[in-house]
Amino acid sequence: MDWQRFRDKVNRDALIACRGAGSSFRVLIGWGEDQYVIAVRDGMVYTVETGPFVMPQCDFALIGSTQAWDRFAAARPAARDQDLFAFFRSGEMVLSGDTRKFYAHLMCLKLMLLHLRGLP
Amino acid sequence: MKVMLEPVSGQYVRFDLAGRNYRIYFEEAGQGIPLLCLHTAGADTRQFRGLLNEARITDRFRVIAFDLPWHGKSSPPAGWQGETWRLTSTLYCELILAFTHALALETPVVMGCSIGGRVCLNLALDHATRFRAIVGLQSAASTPRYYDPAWLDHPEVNGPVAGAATVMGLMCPDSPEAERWETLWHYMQGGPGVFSGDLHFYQVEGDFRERVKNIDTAVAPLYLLTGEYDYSCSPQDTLDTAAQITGAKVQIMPGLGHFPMSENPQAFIAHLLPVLDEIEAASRDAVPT
Repeated sequence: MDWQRFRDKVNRDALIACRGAGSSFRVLIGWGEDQYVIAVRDGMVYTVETGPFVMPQCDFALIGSTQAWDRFAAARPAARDQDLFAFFRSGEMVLSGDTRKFYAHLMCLKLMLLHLRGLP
Repeated sequence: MKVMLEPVSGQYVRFDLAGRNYRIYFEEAGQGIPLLCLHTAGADTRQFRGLLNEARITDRFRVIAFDLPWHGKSSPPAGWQGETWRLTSTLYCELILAFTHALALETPVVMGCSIGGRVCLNLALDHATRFRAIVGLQSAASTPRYYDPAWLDHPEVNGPVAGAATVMGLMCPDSPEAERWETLWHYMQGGPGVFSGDLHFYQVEGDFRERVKNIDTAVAPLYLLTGEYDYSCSPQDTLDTAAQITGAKVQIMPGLGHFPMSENPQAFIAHLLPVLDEIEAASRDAVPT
């Protein structure tokens, strides 16, 4: 995953600048065996750290199989693969950590993760 | 300046139900067979703006949509400040029947989406003689609880925005951007605790898995239309429900999600028109000559 490109795309997105304004959080993405911590400040991606981590600093984590994340991040996801909550329902992704913070920043998070689509 | 006045009118009706006085907002357009439309959880009548403006429907159907109490322009009844909204199947059916009675709608077609689609099954079970046909959109006998709606009514979470964020991925990504974001705007305007209160019916209380096999489609024909991108009420959920109901007619709608009439009205109308044609023809055949 080209995280630099992800960061650039998110930070150039005028929609996120508007609807994600004020959102600050750290989310750990568990993409199969790989781990990443995305740090967001005021609706912009500040850093993306690549694991493995011993004690990752994050507010909440989204853990899923490589296959689940690959399907979600496909350039054109199949029907019902287009949203995180679809994977929650199927049990292929799990949310852990501070659920309050997850919901408080859900709009920003979801808009950001759309930029995973089709990245190399 | 180009001006277009829509052929849609809005009004209030007041009625008493279970000791409460309700002031209910509704919109309508057209004339002919009454087509009563029920919005999704946490939303309101604006979801049916496309249908209300569709001449191919309103030239033969009187399209009517009302805001549930606590939703849209239907304020909660007096005393709401000391209560928590919690939708139940009994209250939902009573409100629909009371509204139908208040407007003197004679055997309308009822069409509801999501919670509205679920209650259509309840109406088919217990009140089928009151309707000439029942159309469930994104309708299934139950939905597993795959998230906790309590967070949508939490003092440290902007509930309406979180609600919109929760449902945004239920729509087909190919649906028109303007229609998708209008659908989300409706959620962003929801009252505190209203969406989560509706979900009590959707996720907990309104479970009809053991009863749907008793629906008699000879009394009122039942149509179930579900968008393929919906993972909350998935096509398989609808097919599983329909498999238990003799005579239920199912259609899976490609390229649509959980809010077909709102996220992509024109695509949805293309699927709905043949259903309405069939209902209209059956109504014509039923009229004694």
